[in-house]
Amino acid sequence: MLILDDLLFRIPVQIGKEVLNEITERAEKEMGHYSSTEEVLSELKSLQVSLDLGEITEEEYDEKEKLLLDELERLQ
Amino acid sequence: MSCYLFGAVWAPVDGWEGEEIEILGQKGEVRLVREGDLGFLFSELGIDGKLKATRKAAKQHSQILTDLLTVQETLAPVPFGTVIESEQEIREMLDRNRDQIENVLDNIDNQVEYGIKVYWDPDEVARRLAEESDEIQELKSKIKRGGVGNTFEATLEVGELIEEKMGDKKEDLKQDVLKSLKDVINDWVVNEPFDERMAANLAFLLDKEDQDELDRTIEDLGKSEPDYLTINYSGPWPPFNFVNLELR
Repeated sequence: MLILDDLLFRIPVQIGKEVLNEITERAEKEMGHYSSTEEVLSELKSLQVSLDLGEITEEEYDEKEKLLLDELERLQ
Repeated sequence: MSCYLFGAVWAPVDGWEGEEIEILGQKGEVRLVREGDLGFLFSELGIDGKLKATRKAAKQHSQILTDLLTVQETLAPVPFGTVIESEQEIREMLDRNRDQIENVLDNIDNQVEYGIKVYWDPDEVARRLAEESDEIQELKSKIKRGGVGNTFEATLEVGELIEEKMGDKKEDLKQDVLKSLKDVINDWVVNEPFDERMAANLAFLLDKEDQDELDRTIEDLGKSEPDYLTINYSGPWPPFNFVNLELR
């Protein structure tokens, strides 16, 4: 019954919490707030990929990079 | 003023002396400090405090090294932002690390680095892999028909299967690239893809004279791989991924 309870309740609730956490995290990132240097570095790498794929221009990259490096400095 | 370092070379170095460069918003000259048959290329710049590793600055650093490599057979690069107080300290560093530097220069003699990054649309790849898999198609049909004990768990299983197949696909891609290049390259490094849109991230070391052959091989590789992949190929670079100078 414990296992059944896990499957029916804990996992969806856990996932619900995880989804909410992710939404909150993304909202924070949109506002330029990061909680760790790892997050900022990951964002910088993602930005590089977007540039490589032509999804953003060099100017857009430089603009966003500046914000991220400032954030990195704040966190360090 | 501080000495911004570029890399170690066999001295003397021809065709570079007084080369003007610009980095970190400053102009300077490339100079050589020499101790016997070893040298270190550097530039005296007015650097104060922490250096900001922007893409532009890192690109300038790489480009300067790449240009130096056209006039110098072998160059062991140091990472962006390596700064030392004075020329005298560079000499002392060369002396202390002579054996290490000589070994590194021997290992990369007259060679350059190229990089390949393979990109894909992860959603598109997941969709295609799911379509191609009988196991996944069967499980999805069962879920739709209500023929599974726990729909939620079965859905998770579909997700896990797709993840597994994407991992296998990445491994196949890596092997395809290495197989097609094995006769052209001398060494390779597999770097971890750092974004879900990146399927493979590799660096290669090859003789300078084999660069044209590498171009042709990569072109053929591009034609043989599926169109949902984008191959991003860059170089020549100094062998950043094949040099790890721990200078004391």
